[in-house]
Amino acid sequence: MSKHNSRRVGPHVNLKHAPQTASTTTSKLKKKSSVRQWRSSWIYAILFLVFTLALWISYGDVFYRTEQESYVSDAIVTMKPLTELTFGWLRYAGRYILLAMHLPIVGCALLSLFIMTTAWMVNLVLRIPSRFIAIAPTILSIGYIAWLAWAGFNIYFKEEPSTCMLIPMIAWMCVTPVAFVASLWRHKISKPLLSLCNVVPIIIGVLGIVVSMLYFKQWQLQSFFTCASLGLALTLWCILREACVPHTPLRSRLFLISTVASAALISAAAYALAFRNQNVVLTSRMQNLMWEGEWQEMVDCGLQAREPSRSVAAYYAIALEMQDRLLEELFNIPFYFPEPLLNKNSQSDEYGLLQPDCDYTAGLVNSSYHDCFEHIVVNGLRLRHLKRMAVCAVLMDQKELARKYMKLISRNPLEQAFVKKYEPMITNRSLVDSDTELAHVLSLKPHEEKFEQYYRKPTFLGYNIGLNQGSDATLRTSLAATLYSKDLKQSLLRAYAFLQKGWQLPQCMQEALLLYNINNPDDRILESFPKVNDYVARSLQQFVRDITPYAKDKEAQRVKLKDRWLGSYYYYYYCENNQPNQVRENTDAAGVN
Amino acid sequence: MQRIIHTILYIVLATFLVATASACKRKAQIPENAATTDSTLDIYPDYKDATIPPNIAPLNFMATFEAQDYVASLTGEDGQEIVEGSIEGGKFIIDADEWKKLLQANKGKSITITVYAKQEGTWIKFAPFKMHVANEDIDAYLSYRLIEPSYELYRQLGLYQRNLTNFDEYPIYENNRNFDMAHNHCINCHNFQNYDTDRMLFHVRAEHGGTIFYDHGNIKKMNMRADSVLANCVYPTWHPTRNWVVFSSNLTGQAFHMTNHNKIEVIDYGSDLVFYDADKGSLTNILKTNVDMETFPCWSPDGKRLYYCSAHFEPLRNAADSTRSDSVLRYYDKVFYDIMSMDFDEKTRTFGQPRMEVNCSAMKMSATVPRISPDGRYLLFTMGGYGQFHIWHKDSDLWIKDLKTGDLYPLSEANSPEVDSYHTWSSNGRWIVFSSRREDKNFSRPAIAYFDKDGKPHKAFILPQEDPEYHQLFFKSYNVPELTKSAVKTTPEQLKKVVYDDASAGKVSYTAKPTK
Repeated sequence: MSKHNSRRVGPHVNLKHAPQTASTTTSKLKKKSSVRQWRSSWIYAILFLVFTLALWISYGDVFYRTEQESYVSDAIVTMKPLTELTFGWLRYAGRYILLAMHLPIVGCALLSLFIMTTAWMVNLVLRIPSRFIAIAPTILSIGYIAWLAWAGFNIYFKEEPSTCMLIPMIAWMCVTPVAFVASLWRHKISKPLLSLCNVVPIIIGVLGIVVSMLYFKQWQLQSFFTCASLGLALTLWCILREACVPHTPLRSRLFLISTVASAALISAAAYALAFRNQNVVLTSRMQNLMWEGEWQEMVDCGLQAREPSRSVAAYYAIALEMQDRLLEELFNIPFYFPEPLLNKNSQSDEYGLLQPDCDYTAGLVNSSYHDCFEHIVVNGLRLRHLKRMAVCAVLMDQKELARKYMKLISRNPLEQAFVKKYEPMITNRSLVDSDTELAHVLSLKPHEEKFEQYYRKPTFLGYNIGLNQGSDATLRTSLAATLYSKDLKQSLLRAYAFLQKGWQLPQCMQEALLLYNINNPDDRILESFPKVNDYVARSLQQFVRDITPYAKDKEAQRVKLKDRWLGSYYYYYYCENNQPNQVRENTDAAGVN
Repeated sequence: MQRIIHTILYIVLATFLVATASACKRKAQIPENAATTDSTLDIYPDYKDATIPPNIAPLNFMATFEAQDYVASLTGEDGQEIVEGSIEGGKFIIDADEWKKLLQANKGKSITITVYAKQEGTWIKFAPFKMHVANEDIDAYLSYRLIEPSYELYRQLGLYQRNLTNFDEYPIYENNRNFDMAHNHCINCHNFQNYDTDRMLFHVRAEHGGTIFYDHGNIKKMNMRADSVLANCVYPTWHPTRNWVVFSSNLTGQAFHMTNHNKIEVIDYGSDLVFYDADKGSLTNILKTNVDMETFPCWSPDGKRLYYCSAHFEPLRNAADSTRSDSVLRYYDKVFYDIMSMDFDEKTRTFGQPRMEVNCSAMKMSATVPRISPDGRYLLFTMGGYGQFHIWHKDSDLWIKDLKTGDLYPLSEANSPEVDSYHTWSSNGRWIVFSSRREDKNFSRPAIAYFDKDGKPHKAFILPQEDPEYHQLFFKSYNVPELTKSAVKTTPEQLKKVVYDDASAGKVSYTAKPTK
């Protein structure tokens, strides 16, 4: 045994084996651990941010649309049809939660909070080791995204819109008491009752209960939000309690791998969602933009679509119509409609997504009102339809009816801006005339008083194809409709009207005339239209040369010619929108109830 | 630290107590030194100068004038007074017991209502208005169908009965609340015999279709189609004493206007009258014609005469079956219904020759829904510019023909500029309840009007609700209001059992009779 205390110490002596003080040892160790170890709970915080942003960026427009497809009011008389359904009161409560999506970033943060706290509590209950804690939030996040992908348009169309919020919220509320018991059982931390760990959750819980009791008049809603407040209190309690317990921190490398991998997976899932459900995203975005009158942005959305659905194409056309560019740019997007992302209950009603707005834009205010009302009868009150009906009532100058709808809309929290904009128009007609959108719709008002049944469906197409008289604005819309439905004979009639008015024929109509001429050479149409452009004629020849090799293969025609010919009427006429029965005969037996 | 925590807890508790206390209603008092104004306060619903039954539920109303607070005083001519403070939104919820006492004490007299409003700390007293209390009660129960004023589609709908002396409403029968395609059905045309509920019927359409008959505790479903009858049985009228029902049998369609504010046009392109013996289950044609469309039958109170509407429409003469609806639709605004009647021999069960009662077509007008007052003196009907589904015609109004003097006049005091249609008498003949769209032109509400012994109508008022804002927030229409003296004697569950039991449905037998 060496006797170190007898050594003489000098600057040149090697002190390798000299004794060290306790404080020196600890500080060195601490220095080592602060470099290499992280609190595992940071993962939840980071993934919370990642998931919030991922949802918001990929699906924010859809969530906002979902909130607009909902309706909630404190008037029980209005909500009774909902509360009488199975789980009606739950849906009613869910619609209040859905209001968070009025600002999508807030709603996505709330969703993310539900998911992350649920994941945290699942890890707590199952005692997942720190190195695996990223798995639960990743699985739950991706699982939720998968559900969104599967739901497609039915996240809001013809289904209960609050489901997207209720599912994560109920999961969270179910796990919370289990986590509370688990935490209480495991950790024998004795804290005074009046410590922060206990008092903060109690205060939050009591405040939540008080607000629920004061704001909601119905005991069912009070109970639900009381439970939610208690859930919040218990969650906070668990979190604060667990914070007091020493946990094994994660080493830096493991922390980074877990976090980055989870974040990457979640982001990839969100990207895949936006990619697969592009038509859902674009349709929602365009519907939202329509209410803001952002026509150019709507056009840009249409042009972005890889394979536009019928709804995307419809809103693209609406935006062009509102800017008087319909005939110039209608055929610039591909018209090859994929199967809509709708469940089997709503598959046959794809037009339900777009018809009210298309009828409205075509000046068919009565028909738009009709469409909206039918949807409300079948699916219950929806803000989107109520708003459209309110605007239609304003346009029809039905003041009392407009007031009723404004009242219903104003009872939905967060809709004051809409009421503020449109309510003054009820009594002040000059505001309607000076609004460019409303004035444009009125300019398309039908001149012939007939019944809807006289025209083929959908009405906005059937009317424009079948009408005999209308305004100048209607003439242009009507020409677009006949070209869209490939009814060249009707297009020709409208072309004559253009001629009489001294209007220049748009290029798509010139192309259509040449096609008509090919099929009906004896009619000698071109003699009536000497101003058909030579360039147009030459391009037809080129088109014929290009299409000839694929004469027997429709699919090859569409694919091979797309790059060069998309935007021309030739391409549209031969290669696109070839599904039969686009415009259907009106065979409805309209029975009286 | 502990002190801080204690303080926070006390604040939270205090907030809770204050909030609870403020939710309690306080006793109102008439404000002193209120400034007087000559203008009357606008209220909703508009009950000013209405004549009301002494047994009606409280006519809760709301002030449409923006103020911080309100007080209302309701004073009878005997000096009895109710003072009510408003709750949130300027609504007055009148104490039911005090209201009842006030009305009973003021039968045949008037109640004066004075409203005070507080604005910027100062109370204003508005000019008072009156409600007149009639001597006669109204029948205690009102039945109706609740359905959206929809186009083609329907979802949840039902028949309901409301106790007019309070706010109780309960279902008679509802279709499925949760959508179920296999069992989806519509319900319409409920009817009672002679203001009583011992006999009742309604139709079921689509799945489980048929007509449900309730007869003194027995419920039966009948398939009312027969080969020799034009179509399904539609509008019913029950003989006042016998178990016989006259139906119209209608071929009906509808069309939707592109621009007309009336929105929907419902047309008949064929209709006849049929006689149904409910005891025997037999159906007989009364009037089966090609060019005349007969509909809306109604028995006289003594059962000796049958009133109905009839439109002569020449284009139908040569129209093929498949083009009949087009023929009528082309000239929909040229179809005019007159009111006719035929006498009825109870012994032989035969009808006499049709007689013109009101020649509306000569006036280029059209009448529907004839109803005879219980004393047999007055013929009440709806008249509009054309057609027969007047609930969608803004110009439709209630008219009366005095069968004793022949006088014909509109119920101007009860009518509104909007749709006023489908009406029922009370069993004492003093009250009329009808469907009116005076509120917003689209949603029908029951309007109640007094019809005095001199044949004069009084101002109509909307069915009162506990929440005065109810009608503005309610998204359904009230169809076919029918007054009865007693409550319906069956339950929705009992009716549902029969509705769903298709296997046990009876089939009517057809009996031939000479036709016109």
